[in-house]
Amino acid sequence: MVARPTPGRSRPPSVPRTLVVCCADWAAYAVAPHAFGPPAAGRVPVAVLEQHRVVATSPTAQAAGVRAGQRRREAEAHCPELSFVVRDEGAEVRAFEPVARALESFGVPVTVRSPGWAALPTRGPARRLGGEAGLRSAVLERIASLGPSWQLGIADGAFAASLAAEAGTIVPPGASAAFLAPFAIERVGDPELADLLRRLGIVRLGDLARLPEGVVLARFGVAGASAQCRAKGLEATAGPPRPVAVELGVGRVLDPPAERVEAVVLVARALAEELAVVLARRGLACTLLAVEAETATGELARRCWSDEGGWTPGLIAERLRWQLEAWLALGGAGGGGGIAAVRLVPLEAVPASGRQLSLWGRSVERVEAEARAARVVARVQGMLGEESVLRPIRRGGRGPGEQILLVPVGDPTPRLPGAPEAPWPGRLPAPAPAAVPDPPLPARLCDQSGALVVVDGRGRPSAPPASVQVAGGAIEAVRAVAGPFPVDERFWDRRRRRRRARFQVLTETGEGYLLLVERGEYRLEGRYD
Amino acid sequence: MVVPPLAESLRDTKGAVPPKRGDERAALSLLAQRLRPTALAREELFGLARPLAELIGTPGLRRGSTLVVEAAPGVSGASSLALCLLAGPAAEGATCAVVGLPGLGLLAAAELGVALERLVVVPDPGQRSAAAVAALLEGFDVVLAGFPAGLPTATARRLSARAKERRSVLIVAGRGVGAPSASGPAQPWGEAPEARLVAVASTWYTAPDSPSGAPLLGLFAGREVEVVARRRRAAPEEVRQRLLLPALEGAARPDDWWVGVAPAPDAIRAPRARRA
Repeated sequence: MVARPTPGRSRPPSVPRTLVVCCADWAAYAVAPHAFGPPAAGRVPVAVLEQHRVVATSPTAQAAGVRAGQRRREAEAHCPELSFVVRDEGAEVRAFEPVARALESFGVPVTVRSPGWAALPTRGPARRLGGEAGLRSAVLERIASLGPSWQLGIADGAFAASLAAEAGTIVPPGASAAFLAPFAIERVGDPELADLLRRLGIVRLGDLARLPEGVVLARFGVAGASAQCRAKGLEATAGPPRPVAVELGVGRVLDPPAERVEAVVLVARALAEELAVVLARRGLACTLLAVEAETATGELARRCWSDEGGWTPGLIAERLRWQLEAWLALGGAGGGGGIAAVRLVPLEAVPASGRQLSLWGRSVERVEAEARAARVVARVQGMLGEESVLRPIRRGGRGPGEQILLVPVGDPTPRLPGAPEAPWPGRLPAPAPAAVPDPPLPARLCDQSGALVVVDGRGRPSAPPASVQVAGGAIEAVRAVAGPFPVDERFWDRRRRRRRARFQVLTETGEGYLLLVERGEYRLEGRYD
Repeated sequence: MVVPPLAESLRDTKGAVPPKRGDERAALSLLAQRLRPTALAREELFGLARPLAELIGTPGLRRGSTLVVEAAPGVSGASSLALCLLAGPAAEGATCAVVGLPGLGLLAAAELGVALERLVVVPDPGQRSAAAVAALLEGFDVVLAGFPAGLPTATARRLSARAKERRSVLIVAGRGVGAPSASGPAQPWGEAPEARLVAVASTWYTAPDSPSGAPLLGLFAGREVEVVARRRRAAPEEVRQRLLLPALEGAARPDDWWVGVAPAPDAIRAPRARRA
């Protein structure tokens, strides 16, 4: 992928001419292709949601004013008949695979950054097909039936080509810097840096390109230097990405060949961890990764994925899984006979300094220990099922169980609404109960006369509690009690509103209980053990 | 004397993959591993809060050991005690796993100092808890495990042996740990564990009342737990300690621990004094 210098060109020789194919609403097309096409009766507008925000829309929804970034309710206000679909990145990769194959038929390596965005070098095919304009129309013709509306652009390097694709133009060689200059600084792809630059009065890519390189590097570090390179229409990374020795690739032979994705996924995760260790050992971060799979019939499938941020094991495992799903879905139709070998090859890497996203100063031993733990987890998941091994995440909430979310190990961390450090009125202070029965056990909190203590609308108990009984066990006398701590959750939402109250109870036997009352029913939420 | 090249000198040993020529760094690390005489004593120990270390009878949690934690019938405190044993290693970056204890309060674990980002939970391994624990001992530094009643003696012995072989710590959760009440049989274990910690008495300190009669912010302020430890190797065989678990300010930090019997001076170090 490293371009050779082209004789007779004065502009930076290291930037290969690149064609970028992209489709802004691929996430919507992949899950709801029926919503695309010419306007017709019964064509339902569709919006794809991720974390309660719109990420992609169908054309009819777009025409109604629905835009990416809107909240669900905002989108509904623009288009009341809008139907929502939850984002499915696996489906996006599966749907994009035929497009990537069509692009590969031009005989050049295709790089996919995300489903709906692919780049290919123009050098070879353009000569064959009568120049870049000819290549552009040939590509468009080949993929027109495989997606909704494609945007194609050609420029020096993938960054400029990506913006050229949005404009639908071919930027002549050497003119990329001039083409990029009027774009807003936010297009540089680093929101934090862009925000800072804007506040410093650097509002266009051209402004950033004009600054002296040394000054930019000194003031904004590697991130700034690489952003400036992009703004100048040069290669995206500060130093040229260095090709990595192929021996760093990791692979695994599957015997017998795997027909189902589940069988390959565990291997994929282990491979991803292995690669992470190999790269961490050399202080590298992979920016271009090839995923290879060999079918039982000897057919080799290969796809290159690029990511400027460097690949983490979780990302690799995720991409690998989607890619394999896509291949198995296609291969299943053609009778491929399953996947017999999987291989991950880092094609380009940059020194990992400055992009190490994990903890500071994590030693190689630590990385290896974590990789070992990940392998063991994969084995236990194979034994008990993928949902059986979970990792706890702190989240906002009031009850002790609500404040911990368990997600299967390997799944991405969900973006959670409600920060743990936000004020949660009604949350009890530390210590939290060390035993939290799941599900909560039935309980009773009674007053002197043996009647259940009820909490009124103003949060007052009907009588002082005198005895407590848990799960039909012995009735214990109450020594001290705190509460009720009333909680009126989601009082603004009639359907999901919950009125509850909590009591902390200390019994004469020395047990501490956390009781939750809702609609006159008590449950043991925790034991202070 | 002719000194052979480093990589060449490693080639003849069996078992290890000889590093490639020119890969001196790998060769050196391999050589360093081989030349290291024995593991240093402190590398064999995970840090532990001082009162707990005194209970166990070693300066820390020894790799390869098996501990049993439980409560006497009707006494609380076993869950917090088990979580505190995880907190020390977790703070040093050790990976921890909790198996077969769906009712263990993970929020309390976080408050007691267990790093949740290095913790995995297998709440319900079903009938295969022994197999799951055996697998997890290979990759995790500390495994806290609850087993269904009637675990065969041979299985227990095998798991202890696995922990010893893999240099991991197995903490067996007995009566009361993560359970809605401290009842049921004591946890039998195949061979005598390194230490068996039993909470035999506990007293809660409650928060002072407000003028209206009820505590303003939570009832529970701190608790004194009396723990009896039966040790296999340390003398005396049985020791009794009182621990503040959790400490009075709320979440227990190791500094705040207070040992009722013969408090060591640095065990009751006040955090404020340390900052000054």
